[in-house]
Amino acid sequence: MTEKLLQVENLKISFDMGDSLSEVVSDVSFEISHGETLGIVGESGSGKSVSARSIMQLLGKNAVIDKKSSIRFIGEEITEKTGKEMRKIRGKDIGMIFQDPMTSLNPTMKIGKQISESIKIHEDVSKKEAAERTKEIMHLVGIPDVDERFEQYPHELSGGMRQRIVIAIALACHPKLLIADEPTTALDVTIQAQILELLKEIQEKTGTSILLITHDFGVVANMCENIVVMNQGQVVESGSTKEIFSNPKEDYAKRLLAAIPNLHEQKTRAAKEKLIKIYSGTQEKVLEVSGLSKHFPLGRKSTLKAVDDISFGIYRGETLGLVGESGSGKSTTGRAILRLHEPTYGETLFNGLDINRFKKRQMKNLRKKVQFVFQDPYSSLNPRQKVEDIIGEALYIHKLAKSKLKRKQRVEELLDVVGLDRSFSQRFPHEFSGGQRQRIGIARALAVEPDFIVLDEPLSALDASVQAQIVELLEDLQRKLNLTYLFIAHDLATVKKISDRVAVMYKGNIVELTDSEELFENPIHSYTKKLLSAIPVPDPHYEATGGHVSPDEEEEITIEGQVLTEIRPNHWVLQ
Amino acid sequence: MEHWFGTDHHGRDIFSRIIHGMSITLRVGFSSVLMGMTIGVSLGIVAGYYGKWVDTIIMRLMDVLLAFPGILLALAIVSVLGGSINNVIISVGIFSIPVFARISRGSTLEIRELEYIEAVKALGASDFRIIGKHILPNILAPIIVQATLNIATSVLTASGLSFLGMGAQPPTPEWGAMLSDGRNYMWDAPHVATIPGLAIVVVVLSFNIFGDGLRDALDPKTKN
Repeated sequence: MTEKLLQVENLKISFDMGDSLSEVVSDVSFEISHGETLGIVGESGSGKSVSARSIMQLLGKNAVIDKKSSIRFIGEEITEKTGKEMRKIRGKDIGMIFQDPMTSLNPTMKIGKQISESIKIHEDVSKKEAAERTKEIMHLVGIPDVDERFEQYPHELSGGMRQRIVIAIALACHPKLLIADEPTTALDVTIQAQILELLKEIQEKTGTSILLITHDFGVVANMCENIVVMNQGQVVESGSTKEIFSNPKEDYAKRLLAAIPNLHEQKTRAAKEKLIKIYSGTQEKVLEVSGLSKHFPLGRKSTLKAVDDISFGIYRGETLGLVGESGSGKSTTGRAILRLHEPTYGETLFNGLDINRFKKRQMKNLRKKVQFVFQDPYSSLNPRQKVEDIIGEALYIHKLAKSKLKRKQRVEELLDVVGLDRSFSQRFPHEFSGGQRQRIGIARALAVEPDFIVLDEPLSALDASVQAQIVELLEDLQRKLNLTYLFIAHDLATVKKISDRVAVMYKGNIVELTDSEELFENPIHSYTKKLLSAIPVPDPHYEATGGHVSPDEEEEITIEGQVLTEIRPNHWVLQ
Repeated sequence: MEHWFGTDHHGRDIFSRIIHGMSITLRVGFSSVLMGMTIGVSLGIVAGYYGKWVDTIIMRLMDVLLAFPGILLALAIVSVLGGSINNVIISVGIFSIPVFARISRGSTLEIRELEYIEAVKALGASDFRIIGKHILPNILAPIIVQATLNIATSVLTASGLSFLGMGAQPPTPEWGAMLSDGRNYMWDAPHVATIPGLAIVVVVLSFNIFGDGLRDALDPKTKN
């Protein structure tokens, strides 16, 4: 048997909570061979990050690793090493890539210096030599114009470029093992595809082993030979990727795999009938947006056209998906429609009336008809209010409950509707999980019995299995209460599942608008194509085709002066 | 011993005068801070919440107030209004407005960007309700800490004014005024001046220590 690069056995980690020990990882074992990529997959709180950090001995002071645990790296026991010995390993033999490139770089230090720093710490080299090595590595991670970038600061680079820099730092001393902790979670899907491609290339060139930690099955499917599935601090399943995907043994892995939205899933008959009704013109429009723009002033002279002259309609009972990457203007659109951001130009007709001309009193009445569900279930609930007051707020504002008792009863009804326990009404937001909080947010929106709800990335802060539950809840509510949704998301797969029609946004414009099946089968606009090819497919047998976009071939997609035209029946494309 | 702290040049018992003066000092401290806090916090929240020109006008006004050294400003106000305890409260209150305005404006700017504020806007809540029900409770902690620390400053300023003869007038047993009185007998009877002075030191120190403790207790970041 050849020696493994890393062997973790019976890893058990607890956190000292003052008077008690709380166990977060127990009996975790896995190993990585030279040149292998191992994926650790799990939802938040599964202990995957803690396990990875323990290899670097980067846990907080209150973390206790059990005496019987063993972490062997090239035959040496890491748990017995002193702080000084560990510092020699960190950054030299083991490199680490962090999740958020916006916070993991020092904003006051030039890029070249940040990369060469670890070379200088670990190796006795001259300044000139270190600079040369740095440039080599920058070249390796695909950064164009190396000499120029060398002298720049992190804020001058885009998110994808910054993540390349973070990878360069991790690679600086040719580590034998690279730990990547959710390396693409904070990135847009097209940039995610680039970074994953880069990691593969680097592995081919340098032969380093990679430990990839992620919550996304799509990411591991194409990256890893073997995976370890973790749940609540324990390994629930491990083995080759192909085997786990085709034949998961444990319930948990099965559930996680089932929770992944399938891009090839066919629409149900009811959904198809709904589309026919919409296209035949018999369904009335709840909302019609025309020429909507939202500009933000940038300094004195220039303006940012966050939303630039867009038009679309939403029919009663339908879900219109609005997809785009960060900065595409999708959230601004959702807010401008409800006048949470005052639109700069344009009309928004709601049941035939232009709400942008509404006076204060009319606006207040409108708020009973249209509602909003927010992205972040943590900041969207007032931490000092009880759930009863959060959900009951609208009842108070619009005087919808005649007495305190009536209000309480209505809040309890709403808790039933969103699938929460009635006793929750007396608790505060911090006592709930992300998914439960999102349900509270939905209950708050439903309190006024609205017709139309804007859902602004309601799933992006949630784990995959929780996402599936919320989608189910939303679909269920739509059927029961005849709701109309504008569903904003960056994740194409979820959008496809929930939406009847989908609009793709790019730089403040809608570039393509059609029903979701047509969009996925026949994308026409080049940006839509790019977006679709970048989605990691959760199928290890599927070799990504055409999804490889390296930074230098990233061509600019022009949209200047183009208009949305109907190219095929009910398929609109900007051209 | 009949007179614990001795007597002054008129034969009055200093101990009972100190006790009586305590109520004046605390009244000045609390009411002036209450006044400054109410006005300052209201202005600060309004400036932070509405922004733009409202913010500019309010905060420039605060800058003007801040430009004067505290005691000088209080002196100017008292000399216009005339020397009395109530006028001391008003002048000390006015000079503590800017501190509260700044703190509450800063916290409001932070809270106003959070999604739960947007959420209640989307529900149709009035600005008044958003400010009173959703912003104020969430910015209260730093304001309470500042209020406690400010009581100490106010007590000091008020005694200062009385010492200069602009505040409480004799024979009112105000500590600052007592200190001022006793200063004439410094060589023969030093206790007449030192005891009110010590009383001021103890009160100011107590509020400062209390305020620091409160800050640590209310702010999870400074724990450990």
